[in-house]
Amino acid sequence: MNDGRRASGSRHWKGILYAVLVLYAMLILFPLLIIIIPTFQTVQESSRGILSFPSHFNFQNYADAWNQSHFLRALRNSILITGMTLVLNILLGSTAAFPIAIRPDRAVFKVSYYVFIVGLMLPFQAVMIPLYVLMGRTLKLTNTFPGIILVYLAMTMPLTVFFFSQFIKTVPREMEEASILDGCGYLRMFFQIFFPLLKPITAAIIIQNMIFLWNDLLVPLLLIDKDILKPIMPMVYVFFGTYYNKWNLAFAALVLGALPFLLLFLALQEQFIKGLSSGAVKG
Amino acid sequence: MYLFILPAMLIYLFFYIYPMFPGLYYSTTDWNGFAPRKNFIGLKNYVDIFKDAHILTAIKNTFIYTVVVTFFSNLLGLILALMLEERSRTSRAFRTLFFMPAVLSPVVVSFVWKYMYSPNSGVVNSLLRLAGLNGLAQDWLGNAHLALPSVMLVPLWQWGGNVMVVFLAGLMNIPPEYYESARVDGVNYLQRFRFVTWPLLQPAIVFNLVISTIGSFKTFDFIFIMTNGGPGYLTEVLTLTVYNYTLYTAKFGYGTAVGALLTLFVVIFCIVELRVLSRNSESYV
Repeated sequence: MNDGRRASGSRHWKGILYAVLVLYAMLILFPLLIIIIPTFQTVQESSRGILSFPSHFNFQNYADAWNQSHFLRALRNSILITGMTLVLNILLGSTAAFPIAIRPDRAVFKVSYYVFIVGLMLPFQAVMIPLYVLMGRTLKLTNTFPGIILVYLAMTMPLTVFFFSQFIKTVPREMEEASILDGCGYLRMFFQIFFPLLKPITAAIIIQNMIFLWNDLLVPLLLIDKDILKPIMPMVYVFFGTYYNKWNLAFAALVLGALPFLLLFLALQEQFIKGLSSGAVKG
Repeated sequence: MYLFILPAMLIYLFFYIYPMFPGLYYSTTDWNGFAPRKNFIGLKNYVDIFKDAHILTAIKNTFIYTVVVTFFSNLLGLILALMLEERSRTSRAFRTLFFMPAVLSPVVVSFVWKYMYSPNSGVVNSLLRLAGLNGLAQDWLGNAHLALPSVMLVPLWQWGGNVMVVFLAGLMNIPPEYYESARVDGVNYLQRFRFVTWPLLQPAIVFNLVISTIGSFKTFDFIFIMTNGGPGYLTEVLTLTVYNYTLYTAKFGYGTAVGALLTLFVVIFCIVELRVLSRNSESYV
């Protein structure tokens, strides 16, 4: 009898739990769905307000937004900048983390580690003005891909080195001893023996950095003012400002801008969630 | 072995750490960004900051925003994680859904919410009118009292799920035997949370709090797009101040001083937070 009461009590709680979860799910979904409505409205329909559902799927807004924002060009720029940064970031970050992780008692590597970690706290605004001067006047690297990629590499390096070195520390020391016996140089030892073991953490690091790089607005706003070089987010920002009174068009551009990454997330959701939570819990 | 570290270190030092030093120098000058001469004026910029009502507002807002957003996003994330602790297909679906806003760009999210809040055609007001609550319809981002709270809701909406994911990982790390022995001892849910879950969740709590603190201090896109600091300077934060001194009114000397101050705040806040939190977790052991 006691058991029966407990079971019905827990069913009661389950009901409330699900009600709360569904409510929160609606709160999350509602703003995302509501902006889809105007993107299918025609101009006449939009004059009746946001909540008037379109009579049929009208893709004209998307076609116009696609063409007028030069969407493909912005997409290509985003892919190039994000992709190049990620490749170099993983390559340079993992090699830098290697000595830090396996020789932590050497002063040089200990200091290097702390120097990298400081960057985790440093707000970009602290270096924004001098960086703008350095890139624009001294090096003449504004409005170039190498310029923005170098800045992004510097910005993402602390997190990458931190995660890689934490992970490499967990790799058994015997791996290292065995490879020394085999007469491997450090370079071969790293790329043939350690690097393949780093797959899970590499995926996590790529995802974390990708979310930042793809979605960032401030750095391209500062370093790129030529339209042909703008990645998606500053393009959406400028487009939205220009067409704010034609919101059917503006929202179509917004949806286009959000879509590539959202699709990637839905395809790789497990990896995303795992990637973002590693680092929180050790080991 | 030294060569391994070199390329990453050089790029990082040159493009991220090195600019701080000319930055500190600019902050002691009256440089406007274009004049060939930079006149050394000592700490005048720093003194002026504390007499500048506009920047004092930005400092106040930065602190309010950081404390409120950090606290509530962690509370929200913890509650969500506890509700979805059970491993099942439904909770996995909810998890994905709650996390989804975190992969969107703050640019997209800001425009969506700016539109939700807009006074005439905005969704929030349309719904309130539909429900017959015309009196509650507001100019959410234009009202002096509501602008900052309205803005602060948006990071909670976007990142609550992100905080949740980290807490979930922390919860999964708690060995099931602990829960088992708690069950044998016949403790109720609240006692179990207080004496088992909470202490063992410390690493995740520390991680989340520190990450949210740093992120909130650095917040830029939401405020830049939704209010651009307005109405007046009522939602201005320090990151926006620095940006405006770079690309609008070119006051590079003054702007770098504000940037240096922001860095100081982040570092001090994080160190204090880590001190307090690690003292707490020791007392649990």
